[in-house]
Amino acid sequence: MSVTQGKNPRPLLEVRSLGKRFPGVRALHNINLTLMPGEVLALVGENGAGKSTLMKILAGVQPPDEGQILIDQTPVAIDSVADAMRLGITLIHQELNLADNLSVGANIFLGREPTRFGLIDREKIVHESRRHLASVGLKVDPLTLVRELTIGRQQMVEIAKALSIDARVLIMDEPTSSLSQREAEALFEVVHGLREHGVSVIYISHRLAEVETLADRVAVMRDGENAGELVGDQINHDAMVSRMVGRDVSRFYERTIRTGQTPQGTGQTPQGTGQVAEGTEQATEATPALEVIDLVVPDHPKHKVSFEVMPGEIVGVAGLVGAGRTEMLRCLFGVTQPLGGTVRINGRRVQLRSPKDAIASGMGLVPEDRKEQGLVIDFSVRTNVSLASLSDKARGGCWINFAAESDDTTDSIDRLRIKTPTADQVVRYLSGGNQQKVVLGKWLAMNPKILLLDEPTRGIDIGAKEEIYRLMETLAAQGLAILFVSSEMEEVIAMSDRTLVMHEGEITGQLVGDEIGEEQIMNLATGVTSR
Amino acid sequence: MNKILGIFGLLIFVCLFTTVLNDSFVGQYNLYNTTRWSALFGILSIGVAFVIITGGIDLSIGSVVGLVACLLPMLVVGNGYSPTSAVIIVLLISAAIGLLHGLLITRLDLQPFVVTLCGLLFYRGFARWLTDDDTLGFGQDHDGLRLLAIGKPCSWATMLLGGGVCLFLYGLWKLRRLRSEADSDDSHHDAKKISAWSIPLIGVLLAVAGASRFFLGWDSGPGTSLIEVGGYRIRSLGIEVSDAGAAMPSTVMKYVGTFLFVPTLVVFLRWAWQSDSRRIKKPSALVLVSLVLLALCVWQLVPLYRSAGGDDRWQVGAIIVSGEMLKNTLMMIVFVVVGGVIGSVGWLISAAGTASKKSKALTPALVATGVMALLGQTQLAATMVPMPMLIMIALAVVAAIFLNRTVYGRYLLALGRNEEAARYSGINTKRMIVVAYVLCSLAAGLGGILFALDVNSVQPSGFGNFYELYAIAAAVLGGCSLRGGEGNILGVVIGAAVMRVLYNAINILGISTKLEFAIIGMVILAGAIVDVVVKRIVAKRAVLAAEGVDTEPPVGAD
Repeated sequence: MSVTQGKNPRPLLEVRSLGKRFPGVRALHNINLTLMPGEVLALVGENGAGKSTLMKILAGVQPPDEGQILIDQTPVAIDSVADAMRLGITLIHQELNLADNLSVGANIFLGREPTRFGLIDREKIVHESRRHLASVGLKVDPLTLVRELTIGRQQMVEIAKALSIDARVLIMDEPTSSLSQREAEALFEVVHGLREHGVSVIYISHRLAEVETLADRVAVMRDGENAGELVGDQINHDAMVSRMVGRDVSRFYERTIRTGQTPQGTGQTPQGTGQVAEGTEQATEATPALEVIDLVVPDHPKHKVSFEVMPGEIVGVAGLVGAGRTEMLRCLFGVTQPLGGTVRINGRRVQLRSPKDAIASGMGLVPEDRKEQGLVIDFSVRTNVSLASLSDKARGGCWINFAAESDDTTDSIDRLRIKTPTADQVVRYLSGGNQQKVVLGKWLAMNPKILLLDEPTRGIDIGAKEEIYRLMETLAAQGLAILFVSSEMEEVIAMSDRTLVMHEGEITGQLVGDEIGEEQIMNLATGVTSR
Repeated sequence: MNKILGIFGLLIFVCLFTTVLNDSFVGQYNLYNTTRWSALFGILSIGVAFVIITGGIDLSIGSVVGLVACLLPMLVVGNGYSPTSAVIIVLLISAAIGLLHGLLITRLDLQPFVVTLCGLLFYRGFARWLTDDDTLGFGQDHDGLRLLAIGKPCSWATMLLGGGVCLFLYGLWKLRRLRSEADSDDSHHDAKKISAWSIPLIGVLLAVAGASRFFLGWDSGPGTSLIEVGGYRIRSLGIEVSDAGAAMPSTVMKYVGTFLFVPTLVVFLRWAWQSDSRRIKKPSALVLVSLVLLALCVWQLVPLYRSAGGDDRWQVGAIIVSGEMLKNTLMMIVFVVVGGVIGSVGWLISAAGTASKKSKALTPALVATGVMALLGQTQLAATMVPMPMLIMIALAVVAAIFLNRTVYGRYLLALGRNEEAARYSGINTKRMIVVAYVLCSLAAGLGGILFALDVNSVQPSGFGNFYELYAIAAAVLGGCSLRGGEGNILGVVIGAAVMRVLYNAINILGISTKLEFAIIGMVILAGAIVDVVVKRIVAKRAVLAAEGVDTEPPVGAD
């Protein structure tokens, strides 16, 4: 049985001129959407286009302000998550909603536990769970605690849970954002399987390649409105992007400035020899801005990491999720303590016991999770920009220098083109891209020598991405050493002067210039040809 | 700012309500006591505010107060330590307690609730064991030390004079800053000018009112002892004025305040009306209605309330009402009406503030003149200032400067809201948290000293019980969020005053003291509910205001 569109033209779910407002903004306006039974509908759009809001409304998390939702051509009111579930709509959040202290089975039946004589019927839970888990191809014991599973498997549990309540519409919000390639592929298979069973899937993703392979139909949103629909052959990267941004864009960012000097000697190294730190003592004329020798990151105690970054160089760090890249940056920044090894900054050996030490020696880190680690999200742009440089610029050691604070903030807003009504705007109300720029502004106010970026463009829209790339170039041209971790292959290829590839805590190789290609990176990242 | 206005409105509401029903509330004796107790609790609240700002909690305050209050007389009376060294020792002990709490919380990652709960139990038990549950006190000796708590350094009129001069100087400084940036073309320059000019003017008014105490002539008397440290006595200047002179500041405030309040109000409303009449139509109508109601109440019901004795019987239609019931009923009516007036005036002020920037800039002047007019009706200016009040004001000023002007204060706020981001920004978060707990326990220690000196009869088993809850309630009323990262000192001080005034009102109105906790709980709950409701209304209004405006970046989506 293939896609059932043709046989059954009646839509399962229909949304008519839906609208929603939030303080200060119109999130959705006159949205129309149809979903056929057994169809995979991809929903794409830049950040802030209103995709998540629309899905939250369908799942009963938020009420709409206007418009109609029809299921089986009958208007329905979805006032709560329970309502949505009764109607067969289930949302799988970007951040999973599992109680990770409970077992897999307990999670699947959370809130509707089968009982026997008033007590929870454990046997039935185990039995039934096994069946549901099998339908998503997951072979785990229902009594396993959820926190012992990988993120990918937890996601499968969520899907199994949705199937167990006979969901007819499954909404997946960025399901692959924290999955490895292999986990993602397993997920795609499950999605195909769901389609066979007549379950409709609304699939939200920033990863357009996934959408191309997975979707029967693509609905594009822009600024809270419908921005077109693509079916069958029309579904391709360029078509989606041009509708998302409302104009034609080139396929990917291309660097215009390349000033980075690569360390001498390593430039000739054939790809993937693993001898990264070779000959740094004599061969280089300039001192590396950052030199890491035999660093042992606590999360991967078996491996030693060595590399260097020259001033003005952009070094990309590629690898699969879980390759230990974030852990390495955290260790470099003093968040965790290395078990061994040496770090030199501008040739001087430094001890980094805390982020404070790292900052004092000229480093800045744009962390992976900007909401938790990068920003105090309920504070103003001004407070966030000044947070790291506050004590340096304080008068008499402790008095806040309000004038410098204002100047730095204005400077950041101008230089990074942060779109904010005022410097006192609460950062929470900015879009993702602008939030990320505030994090960058915080470090620029410090005048760092070395910038560590961890997934700097995750979850931000294409326009803001380009601005961040341009900024990276400019900063490198000014002599900053930039080390950036990214899971987006195109980004690494386009931006790096040199690319380090990591696999399970180890640097499996480095690529320079033209060697930097998708295939080479994948080989090293999967540990295939590292030796 | 709005939060402070809100809690200040609540303070005025409780004061007005109590005064309307029993005017001995604003008599000198009661004012002196209420301000003294407010100050003592204010000291504890300022301390706990720092801990709450970091997102923590300190439940041990009451027990620290009890322990310190036992240790001080033990050291001074029992072991013959000099008062100065005894005070230093107990302060060091309380700092050590805070340090211990902070280290346990940051180094061992224990939860603040658990650590300080154990503290609450331990210090109480330790104090009882140490003293063998004997009541302690300083007896008739050590008056020099006791002056710290019971000294009366000056009258409130003198405080007005001093405060007025300070405000005036601060205002001048702000004016100079405004001049220096005047050339930049700024659309809100008018509003800035208004707020910059109003501050020194308010200062002058307060200073004049305070100084009017001396208008009818003064004599120099012997003065009284203020404090005694190591044999040195500091004495007050001993300026004495006649009773008529002492009453002058109130008279000046009453007339000047009232005469300035009315035109200020007119201008305030005019500006708001001109820029957006739609916004203030409803609240001003409500203010009018509630004022008429209030006049009716004062004219008809208040005399009835005062004349009704508990045993009287009143025939209302077919029902016979006892004096007690009548009193309660009347009180409730007055309660609702006064609440309506305060609420609608508050609504009007905030609506006008959003309608016009110029009106908003005038708010401090409006509030100041209004408060002056009200204060003029009381005997506050002739009342003496309790020493703890001076200590509390000094502490509050230092705390406010620390919190708002130093990097450490900023660090506390930032780490309270997001500790991880603060750490990633190079802040030594653990050390700052320890600092917060040390400050809190130090304040509790200082409070304990003053409480012990004030009461002079310390029962180890019960002294300071529940004080931590009063302090926490005051901090929360004053705008500190238990989630951390939010709070301001002025609000906390006003919050402490509200708690005390409520307690005082219960006593003075003859409400059963058994209801004390119930009433305080209700008022705090009401405050929290109003806070949430107002926030929702503001958010809703923002949605309506944003309708059709597409310039702002998307919010909340994705």
